[in-house]
Amino acid sequence: MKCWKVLATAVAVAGIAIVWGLGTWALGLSAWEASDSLIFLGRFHPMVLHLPIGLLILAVIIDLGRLTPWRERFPRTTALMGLVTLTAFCAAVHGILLFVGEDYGGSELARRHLIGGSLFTTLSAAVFGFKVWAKDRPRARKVGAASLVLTLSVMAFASHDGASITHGSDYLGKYAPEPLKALLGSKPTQQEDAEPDIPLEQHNVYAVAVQPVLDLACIKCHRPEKSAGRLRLDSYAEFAEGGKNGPGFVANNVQESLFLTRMYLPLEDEDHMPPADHPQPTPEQVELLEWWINLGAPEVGTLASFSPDDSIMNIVRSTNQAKAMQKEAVEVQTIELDRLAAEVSIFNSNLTGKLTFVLAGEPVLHFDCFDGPELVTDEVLAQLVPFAPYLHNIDLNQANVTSTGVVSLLEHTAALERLSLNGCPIDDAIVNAALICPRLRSLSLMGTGVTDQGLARLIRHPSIRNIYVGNSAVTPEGRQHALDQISLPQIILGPDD
Amino acid sequence: MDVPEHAITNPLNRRAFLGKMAGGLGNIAFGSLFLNELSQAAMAGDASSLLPHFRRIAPKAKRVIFLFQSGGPSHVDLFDAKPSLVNNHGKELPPSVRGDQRVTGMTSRQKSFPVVRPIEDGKLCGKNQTWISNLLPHTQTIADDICVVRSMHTEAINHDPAITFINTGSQQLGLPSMGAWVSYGLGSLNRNLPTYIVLISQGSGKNPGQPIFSRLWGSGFLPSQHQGVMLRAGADPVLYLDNPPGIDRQHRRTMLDSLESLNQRFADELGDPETLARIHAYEMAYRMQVSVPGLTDLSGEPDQVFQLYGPEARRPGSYAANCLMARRLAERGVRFIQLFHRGWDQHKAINAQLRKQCLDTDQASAGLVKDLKQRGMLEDTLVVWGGEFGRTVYSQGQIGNPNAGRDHHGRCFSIWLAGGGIRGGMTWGATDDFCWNIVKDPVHIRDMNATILHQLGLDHNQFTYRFRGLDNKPTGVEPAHVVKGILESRGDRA
Repeated sequence: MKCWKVLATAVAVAGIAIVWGLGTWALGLSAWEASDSLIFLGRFHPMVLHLPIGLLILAVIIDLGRLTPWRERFPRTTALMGLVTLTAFCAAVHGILLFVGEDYGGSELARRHLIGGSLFTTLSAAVFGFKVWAKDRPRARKVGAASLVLTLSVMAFASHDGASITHGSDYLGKYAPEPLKALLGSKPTQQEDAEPDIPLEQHNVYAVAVQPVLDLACIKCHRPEKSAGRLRLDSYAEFAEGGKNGPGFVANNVQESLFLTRMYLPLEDEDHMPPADHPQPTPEQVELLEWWINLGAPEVGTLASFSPDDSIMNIVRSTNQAKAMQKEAVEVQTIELDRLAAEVSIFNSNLTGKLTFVLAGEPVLHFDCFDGPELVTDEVLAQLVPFAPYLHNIDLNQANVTSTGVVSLLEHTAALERLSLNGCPIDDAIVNAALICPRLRSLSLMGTGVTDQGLARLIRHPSIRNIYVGNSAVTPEGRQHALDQISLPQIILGPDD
Repeated sequence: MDVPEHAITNPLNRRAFLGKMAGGLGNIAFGSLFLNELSQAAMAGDASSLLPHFRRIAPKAKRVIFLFQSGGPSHVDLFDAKPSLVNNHGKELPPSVRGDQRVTGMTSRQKSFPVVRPIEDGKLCGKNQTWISNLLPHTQTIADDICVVRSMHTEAINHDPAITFINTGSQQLGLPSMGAWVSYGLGSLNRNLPTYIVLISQGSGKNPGQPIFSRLWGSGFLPSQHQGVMLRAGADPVLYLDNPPGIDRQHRRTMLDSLESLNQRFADELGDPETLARIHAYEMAYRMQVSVPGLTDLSGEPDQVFQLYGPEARRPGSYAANCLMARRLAERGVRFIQLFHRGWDQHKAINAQLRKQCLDTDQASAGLVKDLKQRGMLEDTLVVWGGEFGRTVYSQGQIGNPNAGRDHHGRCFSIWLAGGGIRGGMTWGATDDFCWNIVKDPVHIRDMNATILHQLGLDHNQFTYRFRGLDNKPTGVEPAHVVKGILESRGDRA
């Protein structure tokens, strides 16, 4: 009966037309306010796409089987290809909705992926059509199998692009053996750590003064793989070109530089950038960016050639340090848990404080010394340094540590969220070290030598929420003065605060 | 000297096998399966090795302080008052409201059930305008730190089943207490103190109150070292801390070493885990000889602290003194500190008794929260205040009589929680105009326990212990739910 063949072909052609129609519309879109239901549907793309991939691989295996002497054991794959086409169609539609809904328009990679996915869907439909009409002859079988392998290759490229969007282009290559690295598009390892020790002043001004701030606060949503608002902030050129609202900055004009004006908006304003629930640049870092704009937003030239004063240099230094810590924080996930557990046991056997794992399967450590705080000294803190990247919570209440020991540990604690130093003989010297811990949310300093000046610097920390300074050198006036500057952290001095 | 916590020694020993594992010959076939699970369950408490799967929740709290108010504090008077109670004062409780809630034998034969307004006015407190009675003026000042849950409920109607229910997860006896579960699941933070400590105080409103049993902090089927240790009320929380004349610490160490080798041989022969618990108890006592004097020496506490907790804090054995002790225990890394304050069972003379009970506990409870907060410890200490059930809105006895009181009421009651990742300055759940039924967001006590475990990083659905063929959960066999609405989210203040 021919009518089902005609119907199937017609439906396939219609589907392909829809995919290309939607795709063309999506690629040409400039401004679009997506509704919640659109985004909701779009987010099913990463789920649905597994179906056509799995089914296609099955079809390839069966079709190859039909070329062997055991061909009777293998069924025809017409219906299976119909299913591949149908699921590819669904994945493509969901994907286009995702592309539009979450504004992937600015990403070259995403555009290429959209075309690749549409091509794959088309090829699937073509192969399906071929199988519907072709008779079961040796030549037809060979053509069928070859076209399936072609479809598989197109799918491989398209899905590799898709995965790169989500996981980054370096995902497979980063840990690949050397010969494969080039094939997978990653730089060979030597290049990554060949950074001779040049002083900060001799580096390019944009690379050390501006890019680090953007990397800390903006790059998560404004990079090649994801460009919200069509804006990319991963290079000078992209930054200057800007996004859908215009150029990123205007040289010598702070008031017209969009990226700064969005930062000046109140935190509650929905146009404030970065969004309120993300890390914010510190006021010093904003000052640094203004300084750079007023210089004429230079792309070339060393930092030194623009004669930065001491305060600018300090901000540059601390920002670069914070960025180095953040990079450390991202890399810790790959550690071998077993080896870490063994090292933790060895440390704990000294009975000078205790390291505890608190989350199954994760390298998350807490440190405390309830058994005997007086046994924990600066030497013990030095022994903790290898564990520093995994420490989320450090309780050193009543320990025998000094500011020096604490500072040398804090230089490595990129993941630290909570630090308690009640009753320790420490002072303002720990403030700078605390400021560079990117995730610090809570700091207990009861009964320490921290002063009003130290507190005034501490409140600048972008993510700190609670500071406890009872019975220290902080005065009620100092506390009030700090609260007048910035109301976000709670500063608790007495029992009634 | 560290005793391995859960070593099941020589489990293939015939006597241990047939004696401990009820079932005899038939069970030998299942031997290897059984033992695997036992040793896995045993390893669960060792926090320094790779963690078991029930620890897949990032913990917010390290420890719990449970301020248990035994007897059933009246939620109608203290936390859940509303204008309708004043309007309906003296009127009969409508049968449509009362429904089929069972009442105790003390009031079931009453001819009438008149509604009684709260015995004292209250205030709307804090940024959330939470109503709290004027009987608790200090608690009113911590309204922004506490979450009042008004929709707690329990099936139990009498004290013993109810207090067993809230402490062990079932109305039936013999199960481990929550503190024992926590000790088993998380392990110890301080080798020199027990992980679960209990402090008891007597109420001045009603003395003696309902009895408290040591099974309420027992270990049930969990290894015995997880049971709570009750410190004595009074000037000497632990007796016989000093060695007898002529014995010094080194002597004692040598004696204990010898004793341990004898006990260990016994344990190897018979494979009885209780022997290991005994060894553990001796070791803990040895360490407590050094740690407890430092714990109980309050000479270093400044006067402001005693002012914060109230004048009673200087009287050893009082609730206020126990609150101060609780803070000191928290500072020393004790995982589960439970206070039991008796005397809340106001069947009679509620007007006089409730006031005294509140005087006992109000300032010290609020003082504890404030003290923990100023030290930064409230973030990782979960404080719970509440009893086994609430009280009826109707009068027990003739209304207006100074001897009148309120009967038990389990269908709704109030507790508050603070710290440990609980959002402060809010209320959860609501009851009807008569404080009789829950109209919004009911929280069973197993849900409360699930939430406490969740904040400690323990998934109550995965956190089990196999005993007698059942994978026992601390929250029991009925489904329990973590009350997510009262938890702080990432964006909140830590």
